[in-house]
Amino acid sequence: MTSWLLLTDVERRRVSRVAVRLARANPLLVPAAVAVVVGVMWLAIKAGAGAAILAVFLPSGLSAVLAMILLGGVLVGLGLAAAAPRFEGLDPQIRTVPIAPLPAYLGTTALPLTIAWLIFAIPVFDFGTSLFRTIQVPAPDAWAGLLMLTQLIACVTGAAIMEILRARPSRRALLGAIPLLLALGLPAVVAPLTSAPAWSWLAALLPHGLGKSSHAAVAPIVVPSIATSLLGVLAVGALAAAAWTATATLPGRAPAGSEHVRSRRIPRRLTLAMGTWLILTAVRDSRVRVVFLLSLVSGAGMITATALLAGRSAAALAPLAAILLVQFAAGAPLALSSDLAQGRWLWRSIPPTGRRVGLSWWIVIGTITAAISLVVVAPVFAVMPLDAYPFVLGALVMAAPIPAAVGRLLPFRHDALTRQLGLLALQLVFFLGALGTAELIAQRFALEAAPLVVLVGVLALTAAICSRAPWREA
Amino acid sequence: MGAMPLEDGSQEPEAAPLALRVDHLSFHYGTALAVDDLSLTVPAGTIAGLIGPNGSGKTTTLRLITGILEGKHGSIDIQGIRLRDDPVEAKRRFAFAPDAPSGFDHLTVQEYLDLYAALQSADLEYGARASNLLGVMDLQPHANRLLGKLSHGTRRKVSIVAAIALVRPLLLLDEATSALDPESVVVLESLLRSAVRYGCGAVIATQDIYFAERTCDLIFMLAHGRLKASGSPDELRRTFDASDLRDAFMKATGLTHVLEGIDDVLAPPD
Repeated sequence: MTSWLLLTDVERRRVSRVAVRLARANPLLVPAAVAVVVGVMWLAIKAGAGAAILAVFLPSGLSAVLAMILLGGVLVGLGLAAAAPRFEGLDPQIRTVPIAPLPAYLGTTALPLTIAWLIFAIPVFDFGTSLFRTIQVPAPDAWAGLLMLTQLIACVTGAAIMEILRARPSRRALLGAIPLLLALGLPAVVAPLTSAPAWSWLAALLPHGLGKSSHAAVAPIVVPSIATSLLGVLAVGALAAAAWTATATLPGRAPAGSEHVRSRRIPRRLTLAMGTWLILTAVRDSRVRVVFLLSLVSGAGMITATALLAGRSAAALAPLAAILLVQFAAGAPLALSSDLAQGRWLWRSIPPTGRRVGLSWWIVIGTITAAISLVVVAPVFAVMPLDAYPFVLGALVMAAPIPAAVGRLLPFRHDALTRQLGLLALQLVFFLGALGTAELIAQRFALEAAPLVVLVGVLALTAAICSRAPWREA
Repeated sequence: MGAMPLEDGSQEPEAAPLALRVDHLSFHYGTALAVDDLSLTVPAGTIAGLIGPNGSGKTTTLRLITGILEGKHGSIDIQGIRLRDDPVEAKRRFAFAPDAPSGFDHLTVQEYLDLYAALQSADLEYGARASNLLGVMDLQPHANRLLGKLSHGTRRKVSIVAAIALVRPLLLLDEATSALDPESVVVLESLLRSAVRYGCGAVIATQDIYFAERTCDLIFMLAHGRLKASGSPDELRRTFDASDLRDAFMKATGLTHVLEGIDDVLAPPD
């Protein structure tokens, strides 16, 4: 086995060992995981049918929906590549063995990320199948497959952008960026040739044009030749992959800042002391700062995309964008759980009980998440109708304590990619589970106060997890 | 101290106040036995050393005493307070410095000491004592440096300063001299003596047998999670007819055979 495959295999073994241990410790987790997978598939199919209806109300219809999905792929690629440990995940002794940087990057980062994106792409395939069947495109499964592939390329493009941002400015970085510029620019150039709107070039290689537009009452659906589209997607994919490979091993920026900083006063009360410690960590840890910055950039990108793609319908889509942004806002608080877990030797040996420490963590991280969410989501309020405010604010409050509980259950690790992926998946399951439960209660029991009931339930459950979960190592 | 008691370290006079009492403590990591029916007592004003090979159970024992690990078998009393019955009160009676302090990388040394004082509900003089200790351990120039930027040895010194400044009845140091420079080892030795004069008991796990011989009043020798021998350094030398504590340790733990034929280990095969 080549060295880079060996490195990926080490990660695979680690994941399978953890999975087997968890399944043996609690066999109920197996049907729970199956239920989650089935639930996600079901949601994807529902969302596909919903998107087909939504497309009718958007300018440029289907193109807008597909462009938003691909933009989401770029953001996911960007975020995961930013959090990926790269060489830092390797043991210092292993790092001294003679492996070239590129195979090491492929083994530790590129291949595991691609596998994760492929898993992530399966619901996208379900979504596409449902969408293309609903709007009665010929060969819907083939187009769904192409959508899945395009989504994967979007993730790769996001990762390549991240590598360029990380790199020290150099001629090599500029040369490495050329294929990426081609990958991004080429579809825009060819977009007019396929009658697609110039701004929606991301979706130009897929069926597009359904819905109302300024030029026609109902624009006819345009289905390009699937062979041409496949060739186009593969060409863009090759350029994006080339850009990623070329930029992956560029030397990063040297750490900035002095080792000496001004010491701040730490309050004597437990919760305030923990709060000050975590805020200082968030401000001083460059990795947490990058995640926070990405949340802000994602927010700005999402708002711009909503405004550009949805036009006059932006107000209707804004609450949905806000809910997605709340998930991006959870990144930085989740990353802080690494620091909590590393100090577990201290938390367990001090007089305050584990319950008190856990509840203080719950309060502090809940407050930090709520504050970050408000900052990230703030621009959405400008384009959102007033009557949607309670819904978005309720979702924000519901989401605030979730990173505290998820981080206590599964602490973040800066050096373990699969742990990061697992953590993000758990965060999403918690949040979607809460929203789904609220919807279910509201429908089944016709209970108007269902969101409030679920909110109280989420607060109680997360507080219980934070105060009682076993301490795990980061 | 009386004759060397094997398997049981309870040789102190009954009337002496105890800083620590451990009775029949056992602990497993999964199926691996890490601590096996361990009993020991440490009187107040005594420096006790836990010595043993890697994997002998020293760190696990300290982690059980501090509550970092929870054992199902056996009991731990700190100044007469049972850890399992009243963990909060028991934890108010010791200070602990781990072998590899981790976390809090983005706090400065001063901020970490403040946080530690807050979490431990330290008295108001803690800051002054910690400041004095920073000077003694040559850490003042590092007071505004981030913990994550410190060398392992300096990070350990900060951890030791944080623990000693608490002045609790029981001081627990894991791998006491690991990564410390020679000057700091000498200072630590004096600090331990000083702490004992104020009535503290101390338990230090160490691989440095010479440090243990110089510093400790009482030695517990562990191997495979079991207590192999205990007593003062003098008693152990006499009992094993050994020239020094290292020799006694090798005999007590049955490691003398390891040294035989060691020159042949790296020889090329025939």
